[in-house]
Parts: sequence; C-alpha cells; structure tokens
Amino acid sequence: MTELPQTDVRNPRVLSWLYNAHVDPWLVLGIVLVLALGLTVMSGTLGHAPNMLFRHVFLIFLGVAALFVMAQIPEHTYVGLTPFIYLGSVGLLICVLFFGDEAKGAMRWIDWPLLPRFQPSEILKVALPLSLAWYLHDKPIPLRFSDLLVCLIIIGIPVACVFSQPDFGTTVLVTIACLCVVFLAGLQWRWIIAATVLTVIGFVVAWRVLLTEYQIERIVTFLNPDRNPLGAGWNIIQSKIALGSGGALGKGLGEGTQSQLSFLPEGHTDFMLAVVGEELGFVGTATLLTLFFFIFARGMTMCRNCPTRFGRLASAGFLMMFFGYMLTNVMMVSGLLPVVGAPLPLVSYGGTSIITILAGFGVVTALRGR
Amino acid sequence: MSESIGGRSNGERSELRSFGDRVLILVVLGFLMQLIVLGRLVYLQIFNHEAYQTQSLNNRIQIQSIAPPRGLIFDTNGEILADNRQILSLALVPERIDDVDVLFEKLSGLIELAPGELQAYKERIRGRPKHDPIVLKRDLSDREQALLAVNRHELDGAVVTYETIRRYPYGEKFVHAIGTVRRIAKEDFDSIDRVNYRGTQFIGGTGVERFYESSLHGTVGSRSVEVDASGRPTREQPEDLTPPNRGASLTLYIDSKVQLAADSALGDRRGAIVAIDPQTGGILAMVSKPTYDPNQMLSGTNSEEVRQIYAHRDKPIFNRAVQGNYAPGSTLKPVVGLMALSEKMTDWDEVIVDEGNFNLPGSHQVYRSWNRTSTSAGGHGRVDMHRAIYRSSNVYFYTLGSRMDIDVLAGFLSQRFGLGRRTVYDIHEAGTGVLPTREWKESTYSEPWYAGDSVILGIGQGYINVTPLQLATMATVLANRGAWIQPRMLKRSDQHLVEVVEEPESRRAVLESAEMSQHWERMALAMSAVVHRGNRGLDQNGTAWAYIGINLPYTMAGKSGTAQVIEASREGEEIEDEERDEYERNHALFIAFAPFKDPVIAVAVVVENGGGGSREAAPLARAVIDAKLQSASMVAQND
Repeated sequence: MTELPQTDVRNPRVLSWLYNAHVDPWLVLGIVLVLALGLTVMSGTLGHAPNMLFRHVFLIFLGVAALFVMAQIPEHTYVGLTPFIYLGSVGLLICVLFFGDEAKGAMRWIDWPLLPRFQPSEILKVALPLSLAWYLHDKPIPLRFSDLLVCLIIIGIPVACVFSQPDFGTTVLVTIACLCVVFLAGLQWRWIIAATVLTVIGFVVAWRVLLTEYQIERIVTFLNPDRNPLGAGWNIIQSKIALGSGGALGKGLGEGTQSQLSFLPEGHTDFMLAVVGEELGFVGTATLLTLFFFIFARGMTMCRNCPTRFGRLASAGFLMMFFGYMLTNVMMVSGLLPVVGAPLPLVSYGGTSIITILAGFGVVTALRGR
Repeated sequence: MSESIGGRSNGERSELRSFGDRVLILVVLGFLMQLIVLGRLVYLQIFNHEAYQTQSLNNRIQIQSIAPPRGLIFDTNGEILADNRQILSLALVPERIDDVDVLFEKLSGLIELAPGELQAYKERIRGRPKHDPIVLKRDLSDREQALLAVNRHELDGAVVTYETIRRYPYGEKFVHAIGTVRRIAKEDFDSIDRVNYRGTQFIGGTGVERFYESSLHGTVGSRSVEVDASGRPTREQPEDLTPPNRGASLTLYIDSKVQLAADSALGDRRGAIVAIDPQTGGILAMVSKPTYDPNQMLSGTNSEEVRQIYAHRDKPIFNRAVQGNYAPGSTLKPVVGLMALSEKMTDWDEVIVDEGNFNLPGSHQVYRSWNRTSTSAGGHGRVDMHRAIYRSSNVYFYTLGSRMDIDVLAGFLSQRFGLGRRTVYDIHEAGTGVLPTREWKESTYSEPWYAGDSVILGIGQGYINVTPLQLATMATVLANRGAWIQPRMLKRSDQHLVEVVEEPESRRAVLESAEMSQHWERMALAMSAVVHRGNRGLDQNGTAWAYIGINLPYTMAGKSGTAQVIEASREGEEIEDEERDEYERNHALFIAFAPFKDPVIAVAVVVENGGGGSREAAPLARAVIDAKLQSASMVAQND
C-alpha cells in the first residue's frame, strides 16, 4: 500500500505554511485524500504498466504544483488574462477539429511536437467559468437579455466545437455548469422557467435531428445494455458486476478480478470508480463520494465569501464543473446514465484532466480573497 | 450610490444575498444527487452483491478443453499405420495486424502462398475472436520456418503455431485399407457430442478411422484457466485439470507385407485387390488404384492440388475395393455350379457338348463362348462340371443358368456368399453390390425377369454386380469349403471399444450333408485345376496354368474372370479386345486361395479394363499369395 501523504491540520506550523501559501487547508486536505485514495487503487490496476503509473504520479505532482502556483496569482491578473485564455482555448478546439488525433472514433486530442498529447476540451472546465465571470463581472444585475445572449454565445462557440468532435458528455456537462454560472449571476426566475421549457423542446429536437447514430447508440445501449452484451453494453454490464461483486468491504486492493483480468474496459480511466468499488467495496465508494462532496461544499462556502463577483462566479462555475463531472461519472459507472465519456475528477488516469482540475482549484483558491 | 456599514452598497448586498441563496440551492441539489448516487451504490453493492458476485466468478474462470490424442492404428505385426504428429503452421492473429494486404505481400515474398488465400483468410476471420490465430499455411518446411524466423521483425501478426495432425506413414499405399480422417465440418456437429470434440479438428472420414471413430477419439479433458474479457487465458489453475483419455489403439488384421505386395502388384493399373484370412475373416490387404496421399490432403492448404485429386477422371478418392461394382464374370462359375449341385440340377458326371454357341429354346439370341475367334466358334467340346471350371466353359454355364430360378440362385448367393449384402463388420461405407431378383428387376426396370437374364447370369454377366471385397469374401467361403466367416478389419484393441456391441460372427461351419461337403471339396479341386492342370496340350490346361501355375511352389486354387464392359456387338463382327478404347476393354478378374489344404489366404483381384483374367489378374493374385506364404513360412521357421 502506498504511503498516504498526511496533512496534520492541527499542527500550527503546517497550517501557517499553508496560509502563507495562500491555500485553504480544508480544500487541500480533501483533494489530497481523494488523490491518495485514487492513486492507491490505481497502483493495483496499473501494476502491469509501471510506466503509466509513474506518469500519472508525475502529472499529479505537476497538477499540485499548478494549484499552488495558480493560488499565488492575484485576481486582477486573471481578469486581464481571461480574454486570451478564452480565445486560446477556442483556437485549440478549432485546431482539434482540423488537425486532431483520432481515438475511438472521436477527434479529441492534439499531438504536437515538443508538447505532451493533451485534450483541449478539458481546458474549458477552467476557461469557460473564467470567461463568463469576466464578461459578467461589471454588468448590471439582474441580467439584461442582451447580456444573456452574449453569455450564450460565449458558451456556444467552444461547446459547438466539442460537440462536433464528437464529445457528447463534455458538451452537456460544460453547458450545464456554464448555465449554473449564469444562474448564480442572478438570472430572473421567469427566464429560468422559459429556458427550462425551451430545453425540453430542444431535447426533442436534438434526439430527432442533431445526434449522430453513435451518440444515439450510446443512449439506447444505456437504456437496455443487455441488448448487445458484447458490444456497446459491455462496459456498463462489466462495471456493474465490478461494483456489485465488491460488496460492502470489497475484494481487497489489487484483488479485483474484473479489473485485473481486464473484463472491465477503461478500468484506469473513466471506469476507475468501478475498480474502487470492486476492491474497496461500498466503504471505498462512499468514502470517495463523501470526500468529493466535502470538497464541493467547502469550495462553495469559499466562493460565498469571495469579495468580487468575478471571483464568485468563476469559482462557483469551476466547482459546478468539478462536481458535475463527478456525479456524471458515478452515475455512468453505476448504470444510471449512458456511457458518455466523463472522467472521474482527480482519480481517473489522464493528464489534461488532472492538471486542469488541480489548476482550477488553484484559481478558486486565488479568487477567494483573504 | 449610498455607502452602507460594511462598505457595500445595497445592490451589492442584495446581490450577495441572492448569490448565497442560489449557491445554497445548488449545494442542496448537489447533495440530493449525491444521495441518489449513494443509494444506487447501496443497491448495487449491498443488496445485489451476491448476484454480481456470481457473475464475476463466472467471468473469471473458463473451462478449456484438452483434445485427447487419437488412438494409433497398427497392422497385424505391430507396424504403425496411423499415428499423430505435430506440424508447424503459419497463422495470422487478426488483432495484431496493421495492414493485412501489406503483410500478405511480405509473406508471399518469403513462402509460397496460393493466390486465393488472402480472400479465404478475409472470409474466415469473420465472427471469430480477434486474438484467435487463423491458419494460413500448414506443415511449413524447415526452409520456410527459417525464412519466417529471420524476417519475424517485419511480420507483425504472423505467428508459427503447433498443430497435431494424423500421419499415415505409408501414405497412399494404405489409405483405402484403413481409411482416413478429415477436418470436422459444420454438419458433423449435429451427430457428435460437441463437448467431447472441443479442441479437436479431425474426425474419422472413411474406413476403420470412421467406424471406430468414438473409440479412436478418446475422451476430452479440461482445465480451468483464468481468462480476461477477450477470452485470452491469463493464468492456469493446475488443481482443476482433468487429463484427456487417449483414444483406443487398434490392431488390424492388415498385413503390411501383403498390402505392400498387393500395392506393387497392381502398380499403376486401375483396380482393386482384397485379401482375407479364411481362418479368421481378417482382411489382410485392401488396395484400390488409383489412390491418393491422405497426408497431403490433411496438411495441405493448397486447395488446387486437393481439387485436382477430387476432379481426377479415375477418381482416386473412390475406394474401388469396397465400393466398386463389377460384373464377376467367370469367377462366379464355381458358385453357380455349387448352387446347381445343391439344387440337384446337375451332377459331376453330366456332360454338355460345348460347340461355342448356346441357343436358348424359343429365342433367337445366340450366346457365345469366350474363346470364339474370327475363324472358329470356339467351344470346349464335351465338358463336365470339372472341365467346365478349369476351361471356363461358357456354354456349360449358360445351360446351367437357363435351368435356374433366379430367386433361388440369388438366395444361395446371398446366404452362403454374402453377395448383395454388406457383410464386412467394420467398414461403414462398404457397398452391397447388386444381386438381381425378379422383384429387384421389376422395381428397378419395370420389366419382368427374362430367361435370357438367367442365361448370362450363369457366367457372371448381366445385372449382377459385386465389389472386390465381396469377391474376396466369396473366395474365402470357397476356401473354407462352405463355412461362412464375416470379413473384418479389427483384430484387437487395447481398450474396451464403444462400437463393439456384439462379437463379430466367427467362422461358422454350416451343417452340410455329406454329399454337399463333397461338392465343396470337388469344386475346390476343380479350381486348383485352373491353376495346376498343365502340360496337357491345347485346350486341355487350366486357364491360368500358363500364367501362374508353372513352377508354383505351393498348391493354390483359383478362378479367372473376364467381365465385359460393353455388350458384345450383335452383328457377330466382334472387335478384338486389344483394339478397343482403353476404358471399354474387359475387366480382368481372378479369385484364388492357397494353400489348397487349410488355406491361409483368399484373394480377389480386379484389374479395370485389363483384358483376360488369367493373363492379367492371376499373376497379381499369385504375387499377393506369395507375400503371405513367405511371411507365414518365415514365422514358421522362426518358431
């Protein structure tokens, strides 16, 4: 078992060091515990591929470093940088559409020389809340309709790129989190009700017209995974078996047959939770979920105390992303949602995701004010 | 804008309050979602734990079959006729191939690949696991193995695999005697136990390999292995191993020396030779020509060569020894004579004058003698039964034929000699030949039985057809002076056999009257005259004496036969047999047994389109008998 990095919050020296580093000890504690739990389970899953494991550990360190660095940057710098961040990420997403690297039927990656392979859509998790907060930070509240429209355009351009990759999961999640930002900014309730009605209509249209066969197939498979147990339904069936066979206490670290014998595809990426559930049981999954909620709740408390609207909206938007991804992933792995391709934040293998999430927490920390 | 106590405006305060409320709404929503998800996990992990536990266990362990080694086949002296060997085959693993066309190009630069193989491969790949190797070329030569090994680095996806296949050391020389295995086809799964044949690629196709399939095959074994999701074994569970039971090994009556002698005697001629031990009924040799090499059929993926074997005009696949239908010709005469004697239609003293022609009363049809030439009608003058056999008088047997009732004759031939029946114990595909009766002719040709049909049946022509195996069986009964014994292949096996439900019929002496026993003995004597009566001058010698009887070191009895392939022309201007097209010439036949007293071998020889039976077929019969008696005398000397 890996040595858990312990953070002793009662030790005033450690606490003062963390305060000096401008980070919130509770938030850091939650994050570190989730990282430790994830890494422990992953060390068993990736035991056959030590290179991948080392890479993951390295990226976690890089991400934690990014958290601390981002936490030091003053708010006005973020305000100044945000337009460039926005334009940069939209540019990268367009690049993906033209020069992207294909994997499993979708163009999601950029593989340029001298740079590690990365997924630009992940950057949106931080970039879009910042951009919305930047646009809304000096607008009159309640929102004017024209401002709402601009917000929708700001959201719409990158999301359209993501949708055409195609990446259905990211599309929905990013949109929902961004709409939460607009909601938090003070959207009138009547508009919210109108939007809800429009969304329902939009869903019907999307189902009939916009979704590709691959996306519909995923949803239909979700509704009836036994339809094709060796094809598209395989992941869900196997991950439910993994979770269920883990029981209350699990089979023990490294003993999960579903993942060790690779019945469970993507056991180290999107379906990491199934491995946690198989090896550590309900105790493991419940602990992990509680930690996630703790991070989310702590983060939301922090942004309630934010001195500026920019800080409040950007932090809350990112936290919605974080928690939304977590919920979606858990629902997907436990068979409540179709397999949409949402990694479990902080736990799943995948460099871009882990660095953006940790950097995002750095931003949240930086914006909370002192 | 008015300043408030906290340095914040009213608007800012209400905005903060609204923000706080809305954050609370989202957090509560998030909490509720969290509860749903936790509830789901409780449902999966706590309430349905057992069901998923079972599924997970099923996922892990897969039972894999271990094919049993097929039983061996030995000849009567313990010589191996069929065993198993491992061959190296080139196979492709689909999941490891980037571009199959490129790989094929590289491979065909190294080894010879049939042109259609790429297409065939693409068809075979469908519906199979991607990690399953698909065999591309079987039985690689050393050179091919070396070439593949040297170039392995650029042949990703091509692997060399082991395969166990049947080997027939004698190849084409024994294939029609012992049969052969073939690849299991889809249709086979309807009739076999699928479980027992998991992992097995071959199944008995013909002959002994087919008849004793269940015993030769053995019982499948199994082992448990942990497998991953794609079915690939990852770990073996040594405690869960059930070893397979190897198949029964069979020892046949086949005598390699006799078989090889028969094979080389027949040479390149088309035809068949069957030899039986009259004491046991054991089949000593069974040759059918032309033949083919079963090893080539089993190891070859070269479909062109196999296709040629199937398409050959002379049908090498066809086992003439057990399935070929031939008119017995004059070899039937001893049998017809015995029937006439037993029915008291004639006796040994009756003399018939053979002027070369036989006229059926009330008919214009003229039946002729075999030794008729353009200058003489032929004929053998005054003939009794004895002379009618050693001179093979047609007119004598036309006369007997005209006296006979076909149904009585057919009953005698069927009962005593097994004609028209499949009597061999353990050759599944053996034919029955054709034994005509009134009823048979009525149902086959919708015609009544004519007196003329009986006349030519007297000399073994007409509707009657026999297989070489049946001819040999007939010779066996003659050698045994009437005692019936069932012909069979299997001498013994090292295990209890599934197939043997009852002991094969053993030699069964028929309760004969003293008079009938005498008839059998005298008939054997007349047949020995066919071989031994010589130096008596023109038209006085046994028909085969000149060809095999001179200086014969042992006693032997035989009867020649020359079966017409096409009907003699009615105009009387008959063409000399030698001038006919090869495939229209007469078949040469000979049956024989030796030694005269206590025979140890009975033989039947058929040479297709060979011409005269005594000249063409008798020497082959002698060669076979020589081989048997030589090996027997060697055994006697060793004792």
